[in-house]
Amino acid sequence: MAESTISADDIRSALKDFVDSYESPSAGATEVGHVTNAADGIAHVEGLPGVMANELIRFADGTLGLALNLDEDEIGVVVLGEFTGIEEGQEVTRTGEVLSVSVGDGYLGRVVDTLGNPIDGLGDIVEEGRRALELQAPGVMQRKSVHEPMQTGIKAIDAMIPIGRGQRQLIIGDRQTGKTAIAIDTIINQKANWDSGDENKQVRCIYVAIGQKGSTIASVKGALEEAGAMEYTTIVAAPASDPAGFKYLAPYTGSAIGQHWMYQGKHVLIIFDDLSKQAEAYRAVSLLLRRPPGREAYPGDVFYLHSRLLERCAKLSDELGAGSMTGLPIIETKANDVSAYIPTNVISITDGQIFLQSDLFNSNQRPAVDVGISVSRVGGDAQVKSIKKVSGTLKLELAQYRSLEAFAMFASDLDPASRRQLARGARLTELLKQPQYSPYPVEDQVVSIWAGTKGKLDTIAIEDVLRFEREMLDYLARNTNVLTTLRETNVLDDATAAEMEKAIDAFALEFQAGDGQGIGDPGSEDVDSLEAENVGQEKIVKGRR
Amino acid sequence: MGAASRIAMETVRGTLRTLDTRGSSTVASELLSAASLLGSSRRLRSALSDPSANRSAKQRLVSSVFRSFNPTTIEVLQTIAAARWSDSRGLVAAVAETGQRAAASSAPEGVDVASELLEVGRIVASNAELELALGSRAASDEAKGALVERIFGASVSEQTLAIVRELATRHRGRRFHTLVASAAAVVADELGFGLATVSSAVPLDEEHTRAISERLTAIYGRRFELNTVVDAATEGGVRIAVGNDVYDGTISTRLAELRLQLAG
Repeated sequence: MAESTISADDIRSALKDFVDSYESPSAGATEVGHVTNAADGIAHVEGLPGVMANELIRFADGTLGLALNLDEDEIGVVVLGEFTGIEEGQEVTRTGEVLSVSVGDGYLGRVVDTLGNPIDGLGDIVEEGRRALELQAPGVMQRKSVHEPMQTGIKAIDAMIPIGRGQRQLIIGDRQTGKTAIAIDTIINQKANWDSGDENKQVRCIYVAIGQKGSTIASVKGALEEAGAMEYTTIVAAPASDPAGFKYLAPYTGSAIGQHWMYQGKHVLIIFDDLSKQAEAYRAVSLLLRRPPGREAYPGDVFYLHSRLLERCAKLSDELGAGSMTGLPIIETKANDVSAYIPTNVISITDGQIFLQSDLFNSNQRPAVDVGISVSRVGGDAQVKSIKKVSGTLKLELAQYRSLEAFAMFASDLDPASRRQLARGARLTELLKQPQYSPYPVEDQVVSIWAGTKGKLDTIAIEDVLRFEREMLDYLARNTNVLTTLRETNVLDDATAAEMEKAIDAFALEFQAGDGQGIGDPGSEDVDSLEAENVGQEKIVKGRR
Repeated sequence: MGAASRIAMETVRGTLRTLDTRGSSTVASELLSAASLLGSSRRLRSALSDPSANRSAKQRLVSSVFRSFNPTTIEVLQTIAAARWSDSRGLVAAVAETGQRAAASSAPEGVDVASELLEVGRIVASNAELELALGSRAASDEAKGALVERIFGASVSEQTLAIVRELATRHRGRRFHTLVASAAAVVADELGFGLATVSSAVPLDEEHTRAISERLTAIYGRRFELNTVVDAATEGGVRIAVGNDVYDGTISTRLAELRLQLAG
């Protein structure tokens, strides 16, 4: 092995050179203070009269701290790192720097901690510069309306709750409802864009893991690597074992790294998983710093904590390079209570929300998106034309289905129209199911949803819907160039629709249902005419007085 | 210290310059014992620092409580009582500081109160048991006073002893050597110079100390008294501490920095 040829002497002489290259700074004046007490990751420091808010300070053992409370005669410091070495009376010096993180393309494919230090053992990160963590969001004149789509690859979301580049779309739901899965699918779906090599299509992704289990972060990384998505992704990890100070700062680190790319005119997707844990970490820090507690014991500025973070996601104007940063904050609710303090705060800050319901998840409707109460306030303008055309009907049909759903148990007593509506709704709902890590390209989504809303699935048994869809897409790809046309033009015109209809009808004749029978007749939009006795005409007859 | 207390302290200092408190060790010791008394009587210090109380009533209270004192002392106390304080601690601290300043200026020729205080601080800091005893919340004021007198009575001047005794009786649960160090800074300020602590591995010669004080005078624009400490742990070089500013050129600090860089 080549490594074994490095002798201890070589290492020693290299270290010697390193030590020789150390230039001791000339002894200028440094301000010092002393620790008066230290506990639970918080230290109070006396002295340091010139310290700035949010300035990094250094304890004598090399640990860094962040000056948060500036009081009359002491400062409250959050210790960034191990706090076991900090003791009363220890000397503290100023660094003169506000908290910043190095930025640049070196971060792609890396896993870093809150301070931007790599923790994946792949060596140093080449930095292009540094960026302050607490930086102001772009102003009004620096922004532009959201108008480019950010495809998640999930049918339910791309069709009905579309997300645009530069939008903040909240993903909210109970534990174990697939919140992270949506975020990871969205990252994986950017693979084709990345491979295209077109800067305007490419999306750099940042996944900020706050207060999660180390094993969860590792499995996310594994999933991304397996899908080949890690090469354009950065993971900022502040696992549950990190001190509260790290957890509360991690989203700012992620957004500083992302903002650097955004101001270079690139597109960025950032996922904060999840902000409820960040709020809890900030609550811990604030209570330990003895800031007054407010509702649910959160400090008064917990709204500002999230609003200033999410305001940094933006679509920049053309003068600034038209870069964008799309934010997907995640909030975990307790018992589906979206009216708790932190969920309502973040709902009001973001441009829409995707609700995930545990009931849907348990009834095997996955992704468990509740399309009834999920909204996207700005994404409609950014939606691809072809999918916009087909999704209008989908929304309507699903809304009618939901209103009729309560009567579903009286199915036999219902009139044919309602029965048909229920059958259609059940098939469309089935069609929106999608396994994890399998994002759909836009053209596939268009074809599936078009087929569903045009009644092509009405004759298929519900359990066969997904297989029919899969085989249909396969058939179209092999026998027609509908998918290619849709991919290239992004428009669904009449000619394409006609070709598609013909192909799907031809495929339906070949399709073998689950029970081994052919379905015989492909479904269509035709509606049976009413029977003669049900058709009547009321006439207004002028009577005599 | 609150903003009101800071402003009051400034005005009190200004008024005191016009009074003749200098040269009288009686005024100094009376002021220090008044500080002790205020420290032990919550009702008295609350009454005197109450911002809503009538100013002349407070002054009458001072003259009746401290009627056995020298008229100058009473006038000083009345000036302090008339000012507006953020809280009662500010008032007591002001009385104590005035006493320390008076003690410093009343010291006879050849007695250096500031150096003596620093020496006391060093002795206390080097003996953990003594530090605990002097900062104790449980021990009585008389016992602490007697302890201070027994240990330092023979070796320091009357003025220094009065200051140290007052510090020991008034403060509870605080680090004693930091209290003494801040008192030394007040005393040095009264005498018109600043205090700098210079640590080095070997004793500094005359030439070096002069060079250091000249340099500090050039930076801060005032005369400096050097408190030299020989600390073998610094390995070499000099560390100068002026208040919160530190000029550190010691080998030990540079080695520590290098170690941090290597650990990276």
